[in-house]
Amino acid sequence: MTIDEGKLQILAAFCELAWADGRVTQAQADFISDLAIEMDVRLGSYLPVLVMGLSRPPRAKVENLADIPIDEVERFQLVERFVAMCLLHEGLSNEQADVLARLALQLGIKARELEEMRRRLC
Amino acid sequence: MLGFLKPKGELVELKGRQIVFLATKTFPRDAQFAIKLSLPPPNKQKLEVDVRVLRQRPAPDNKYVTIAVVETPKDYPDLHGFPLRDYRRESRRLTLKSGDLPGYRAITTDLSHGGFKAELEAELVEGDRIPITFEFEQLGGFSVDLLAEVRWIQKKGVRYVTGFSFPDQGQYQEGYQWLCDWLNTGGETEVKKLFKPAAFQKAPPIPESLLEKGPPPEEPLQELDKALELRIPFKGFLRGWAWEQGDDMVVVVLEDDDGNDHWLEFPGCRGLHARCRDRKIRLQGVGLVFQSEMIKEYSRTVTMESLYHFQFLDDYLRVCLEVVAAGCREQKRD
Repeated sequence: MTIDEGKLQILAAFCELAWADGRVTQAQADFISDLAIEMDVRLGSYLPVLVMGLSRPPRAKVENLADIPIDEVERFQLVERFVAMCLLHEGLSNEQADVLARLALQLGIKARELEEMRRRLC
Repeated sequence: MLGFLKPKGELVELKGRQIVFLATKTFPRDAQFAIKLSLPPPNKQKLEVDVRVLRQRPAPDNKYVTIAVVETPKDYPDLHGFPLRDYRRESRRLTLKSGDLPGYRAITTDLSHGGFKAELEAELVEGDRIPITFEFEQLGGFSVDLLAEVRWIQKKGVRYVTGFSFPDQGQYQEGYQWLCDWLNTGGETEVKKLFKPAAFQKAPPIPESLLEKGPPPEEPLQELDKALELRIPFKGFLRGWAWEQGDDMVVVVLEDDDGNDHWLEFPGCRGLHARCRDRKIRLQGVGLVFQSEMIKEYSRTVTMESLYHFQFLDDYLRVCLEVVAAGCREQKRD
């Protein structure tokens, strides 16, 4: 997987996390599109992914985040962003926590580290 | 009379009382004079004839194509002289697409090795060079990218008949060579050996894993469909859009602030019109809303925004993609 493909997978993962509660909020859509720009993904790449990812719940789970060629620090930062998006609204729901834990595990972040992260960002 | 002072020209065609010749001077309509016309080699004879000018138009090499009536009281045989064109013009209808074309797409009315003609919805600027794509529907929708230069424009009703030439093709040389072969062989050239179905492959690839999810089972309308109202913000311009009938794909061409084009493909989308009505409109983003109406595309002005709607089918036939433009004014192109 190339880094460009990996960035699109990351965006798809954020979309999946955004749908965890059954609906996506505008704040989450803004968060993900800001992230796409921050990651320097081309408009022509990220927009179709976001349109598809935000218009309907994902039909398949993202399961290949481990294949993205990013280093440990970047993985940690990425999971921090996952947590930050979950905390845009009133706390972390059970459904969000499940999806978050699964995505974080793919990136090598264990439950204990995830909990520390959540406490820090709260 | 001093014969060497007579205007000189090159005979193109003499048929009955009508004569066409190339002259280096301009003449007013109804100007009458005797002219000395040369014929193409090896013929060294000169044809002297009295003419009355009907009209003129510019031709290459600072010459003017002059159409006139023969006034000499004498019957001449039909004569063919210098060719007006380097290449024979053929009536060919090909779909032409370009983000730089008003209306995004057009149909050629004729085509030759030297250029083509098309009717456009708005006026281009003479001398502009624009990348274009020819589509060959009879060859499975294969397309060829070329460079075209605007050579002349004639207003015809509400449209603009525009003549294009093929300048030095640079990176498009391979495509131009193929087009020449295609013309030479009367359309028998095998496209597949040379080109991919290129026109809509310009967008960066989306990983297969994000696309290969297949159509979902039939689902009842859910509340979340009705609740869908999201906007994906970005900064850029709308350059055009197209709906590929048969492909169920909407292509939206956007331009970012750095001037880069982005061809967005939305598989499973439909529109109504296969073209763009405006050019380079500042955008705020795209919106996703629930839309239960029949397939349709329309624009409406809401305060300072124009919304362009596409049915974004997404296999569920329910989501509407709105391209949200800021204001309605056209942006001036540099």
